[in-house]
Amino acid sequence: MALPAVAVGLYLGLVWAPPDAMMGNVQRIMYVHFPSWIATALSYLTGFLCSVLYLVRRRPALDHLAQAGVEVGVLFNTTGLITGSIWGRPTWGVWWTWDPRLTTTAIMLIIFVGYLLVRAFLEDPDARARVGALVAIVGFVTLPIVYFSVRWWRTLHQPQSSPNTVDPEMVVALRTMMVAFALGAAYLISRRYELARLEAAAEQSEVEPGVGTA
Amino acid sequence: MLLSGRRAGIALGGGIVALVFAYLVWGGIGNNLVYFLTPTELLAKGPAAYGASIRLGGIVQPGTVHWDADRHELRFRLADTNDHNVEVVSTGVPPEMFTEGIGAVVEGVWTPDGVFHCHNLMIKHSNEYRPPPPGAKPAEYYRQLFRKQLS
Amino acid sequence: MTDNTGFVVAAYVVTAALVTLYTWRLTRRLKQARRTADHQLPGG
Repeated sequence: MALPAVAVGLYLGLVWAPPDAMMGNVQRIMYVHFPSWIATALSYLTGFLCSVLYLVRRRPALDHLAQAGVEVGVLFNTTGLITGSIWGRPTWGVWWTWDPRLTTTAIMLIIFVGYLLVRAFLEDPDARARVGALVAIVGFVTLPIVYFSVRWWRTLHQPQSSPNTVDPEMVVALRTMMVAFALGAAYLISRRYELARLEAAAEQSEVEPGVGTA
Repeated sequence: MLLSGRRAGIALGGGIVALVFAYLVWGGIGNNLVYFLTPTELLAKGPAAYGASIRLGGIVQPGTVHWDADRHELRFRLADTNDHNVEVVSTGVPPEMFTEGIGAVVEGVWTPDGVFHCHNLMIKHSNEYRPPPPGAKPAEYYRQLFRKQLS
Repeated sequence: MTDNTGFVVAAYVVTAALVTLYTWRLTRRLKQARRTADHQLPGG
């Protein structure tokens, strides 16, 4: 379902939509940069909500879903940063600068990479889930900071665009790609969730032979 | 306590991540929460700001841009909404979006002669994305200004 | 005017490569995990 949407989005973004008056065709990086952040936000939101719910309900399934959300979030956080960097070089003139938007985004990524490392390090499933949930909840605080950074502080990054500041044809291309990326992220999270579930079952049957197969 | 190879690797990775995190939080946020000064703020600082490494942000004031093609030297005035402005000298060809009236952030040093010597010029574009008007050639201003270097 | 097509291509290729690599690894690990689960649970 995500793949046809990507195909349509690619056509709309790379062929159908007009170039930008100031940037020319480089502006087309927007159709892969911005959707990456939509996917990042949705994935981290999944990770955050499931972490909160896990601490309340203590269901392993919630922990698996939280882990899946964070891991897919890290993937799209990375593509968002890389595409932003590639876009920044020809337009701003630099690959990177320490403005508040870019800095807070890097901090967000490093916290969630830390989440994955902590989980890989802890061997006890309960401790892994509890510590992980705490890191995910703290890490998620960075997301609104990243979002509002362009309004709270002076940045090189421009403030949020809206359909009022973007040409209608570009908006159509952008929305298509946003849907495609959101579907793609949802698919990956569901697959990653299933993997976490199977791995947990295998882990349990190693510790207590016979129990995991019940 | 000895850690197995895999866990030692993860711990090392975790240590690196923690260091990068600390660097980003203290170094990145601490120094850059005020990412750039406006011309008004720089002028208010006066001689105290001479010689320090500074980021200055504003609008490239229309009618003040001069390109010395032989010396590869770009001169313009960076203005803010309070109508204060600072003369900036930059070497090399700027990014392609450079034009009169666009936002720019310059990194460099302000000297007692009142000139800001920029070693890194960055363009701050708006959040507007529009198709070029009919018949317009993209970056026409830029190509005219820097035609010697681009040919 | 300098040609910026390379930047556009790079952005799309890098994104496609990373997402494809992740999806491919995930699929492979999932297949492996399913096989293990089937092994433990004959007929399940």
